[in-house]
Amino acid sequence: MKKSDLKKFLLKLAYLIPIVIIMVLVNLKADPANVFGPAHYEKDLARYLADGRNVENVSNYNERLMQKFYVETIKRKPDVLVIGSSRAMQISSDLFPGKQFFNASVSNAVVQDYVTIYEIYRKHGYTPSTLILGLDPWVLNSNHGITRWKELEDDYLDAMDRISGKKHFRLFKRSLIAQKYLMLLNPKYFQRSLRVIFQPEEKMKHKVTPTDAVEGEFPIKMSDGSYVYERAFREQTIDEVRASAVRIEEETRLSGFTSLDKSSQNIFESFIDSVQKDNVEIIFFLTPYHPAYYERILKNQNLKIILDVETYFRTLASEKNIKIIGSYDPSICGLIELDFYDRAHPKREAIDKIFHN
Amino acid sequence: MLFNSYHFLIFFPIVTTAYFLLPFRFRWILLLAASYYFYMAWEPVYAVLLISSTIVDYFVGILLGRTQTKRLRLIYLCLSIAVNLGFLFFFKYYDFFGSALGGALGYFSLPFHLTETHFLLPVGISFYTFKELSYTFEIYMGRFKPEKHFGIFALYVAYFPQLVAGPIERPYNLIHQLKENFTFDYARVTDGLKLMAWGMFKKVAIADRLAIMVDTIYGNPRNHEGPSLVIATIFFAFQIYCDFSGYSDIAIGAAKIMGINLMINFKRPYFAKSVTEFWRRWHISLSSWFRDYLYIPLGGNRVSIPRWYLNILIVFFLSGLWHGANWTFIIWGLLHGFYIMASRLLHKPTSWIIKTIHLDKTPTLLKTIQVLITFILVSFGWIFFRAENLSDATHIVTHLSNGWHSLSNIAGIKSVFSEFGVTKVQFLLGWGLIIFLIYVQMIQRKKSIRLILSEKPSWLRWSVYYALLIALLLFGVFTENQFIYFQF
Repeated sequence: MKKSDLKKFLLKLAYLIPIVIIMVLVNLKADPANVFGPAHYEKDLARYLADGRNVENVSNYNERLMQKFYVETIKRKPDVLVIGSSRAMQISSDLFPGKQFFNASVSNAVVQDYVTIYEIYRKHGYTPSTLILGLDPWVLNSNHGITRWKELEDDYLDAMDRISGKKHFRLFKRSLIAQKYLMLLNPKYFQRSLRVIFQPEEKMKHKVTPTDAVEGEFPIKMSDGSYVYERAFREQTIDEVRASAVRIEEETRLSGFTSLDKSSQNIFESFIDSVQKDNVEIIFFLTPYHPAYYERILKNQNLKIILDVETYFRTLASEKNIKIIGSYDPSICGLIELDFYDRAHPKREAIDKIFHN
Repeated sequence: MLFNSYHFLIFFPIVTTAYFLLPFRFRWILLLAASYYFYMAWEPVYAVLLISSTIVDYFVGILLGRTQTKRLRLIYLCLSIAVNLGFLFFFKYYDFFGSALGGALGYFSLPFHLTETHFLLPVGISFYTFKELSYTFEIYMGRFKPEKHFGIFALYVAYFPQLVAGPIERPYNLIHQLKENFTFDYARVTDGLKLMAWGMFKKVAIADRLAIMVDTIYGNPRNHEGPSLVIATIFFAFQIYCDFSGYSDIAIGAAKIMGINLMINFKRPYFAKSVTEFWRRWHISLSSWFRDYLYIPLGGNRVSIPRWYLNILIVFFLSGLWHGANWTFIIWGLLHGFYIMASRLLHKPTSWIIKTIHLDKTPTLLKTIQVLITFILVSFGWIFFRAENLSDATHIVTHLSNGWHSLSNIAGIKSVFSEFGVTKVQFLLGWGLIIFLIYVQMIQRKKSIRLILSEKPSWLRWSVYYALLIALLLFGVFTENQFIYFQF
């Protein structure tokens, strides 16, 4: 290796440092998802929800942390608790009149999230009477690549200690810290930060505001924990929705998903057993996919594993005497294209339809 | 592992740094391990396929080199073809042919049922299969001596920059380079990095941005009419070019940094004056593969005209099939075969017309017309390539001429904009990026833009690099979208 060439190369590489510095500073300054700021955002949000207020502008925050703050703030245990991903966030208290209800779903929920969130409620003496689990196919994919559950890893390990009767080793949350700081160099985050800096209305999207509205221009977190999308997303045309449903883009949560992950199955099954021991009624909820995407699932061998996941959940439900509502197949639930916001998220009315069928 | 992922952003500098730091004799081990890691990051179990076909072809190569008996040589050749194409058929075409056969027999009321395999399509199988076959063919034809070093041969098959989407290298171009001791060379390394950055720009800023609009229209073609279908098809023509040539640029740039020159895969294809020329400029590593190992052995054009037509149809049928187990790809391939046959049939009448109307006196105008006609023909073919199924493709083709009257007023034009599911600015940005690409390609007519830039003063060069990087950051679509050619 010629040293002069290497020196010249490193020097020229240094010319790019200003761009990196600008990216880091812009991301730090705007921080649209509140990644680097204190947790005021999540605390405020939890407090408003616990006070029974709907909250506007909640597109980006640490959902897991907010759930923890919420449980620390409430005074009554919920009768019905929902834990799932964004695909379960349309389940609302309207479906359970007269009952204390909370939807504790978090985006990209995996098995560890079910365990953790339930554990937080249990620790505070708020074990619900009914637990609805929104079950997504990726929860049984060992390659889903989702690490957000590690935000509350201590609570997860506490639960696993209790369930398995063995003490689990506490790991330093290194990967999470690395992920957080990688956001400083994330070009997608940079684009969002620029929008926040240059478009004042974008800033508004990220300020927690209590509201009496039940829908609006911006997303609303309802006091029952369910989620109402922003107007632009809610009012997409059927064509736009279909286009997003059939778009060929990698569903990273399902990448490399060729067989059910045994370790996730074990965690899930032991969790179910422990919840049943608490005398909690469990309901499995399978959120349907958009008809065009489901058609792709049936045709595309890379996605056919989703059908195996549903079979597994149905078999398990029947073995453990658990009620199961819904299906990944929209036709079984009687849903059509108009019932969807995008490929994976049915509308609130569609969820109501599924529960009432 | 995707080139446009964080994973690769960390993987590549580590591998390259280790490559230059390691003593020469260990480099092949590093590259082989890195290549398998690169492949296994997608689905580890399919590395078994790669290893199996590598072992078979290594020994077939050795055996072919040792024997002169024609019959034995033919047996070894057939063994290699059977193993390589067998894997390819099983994983890529088994379900397709099963369903086609079932459909055909069902038409005659004959019962037929084939259980579907449900296997994942191994990433890059079409590419590495053809690369391995080219090795066996070259040895069989006596043009290349078998590689005795198993590690080097395995590296030839698995070399990570071009493992999953080409260029489909030839043994005589790549293997000797894998044995060379390249040192860190400033000019070469920076040239490779610039090529990678340009490839990334094409993929992330142009292809992925156009993909949003193309997917909206092609996702539901029945709800759109002529203007949107035509615009979406033009967008797709540039999307697929930027996607695939972007991948090739990143692959060629990455290899170049390590001192290895991969073959050029694209030469400004949309400036071709005929479909025949288009195929000399588009996916060159594949079209030359079909030329060398299928078209020429079939007799090429040194046969009777009917036989030549048949040769063309065979080559383009298989080329279509190579791209995917779907009737849309087969029709796309055959359509290009018909274009080439028609161009030969119509050669005399078109020459006569050109002379009669004196177009030959204005070569620039003639060339522009030829380029435009070729682009229209190629884009028409892309309809079949992109459509989800034959029914959608037929609908698009039969509705291309509908709805143009809506462009006669501003409200009509606005409604066409709105069909693409993006803002007006994003729609115009798509066109702007296409115009920018065409402009860059026009500049590159005689020499590459990197060469042109290298002759400019430093401040100007760095201004261009900065502008490109800022454009990438501002206009890029950062969702780790797969490269289209990964599915092949």
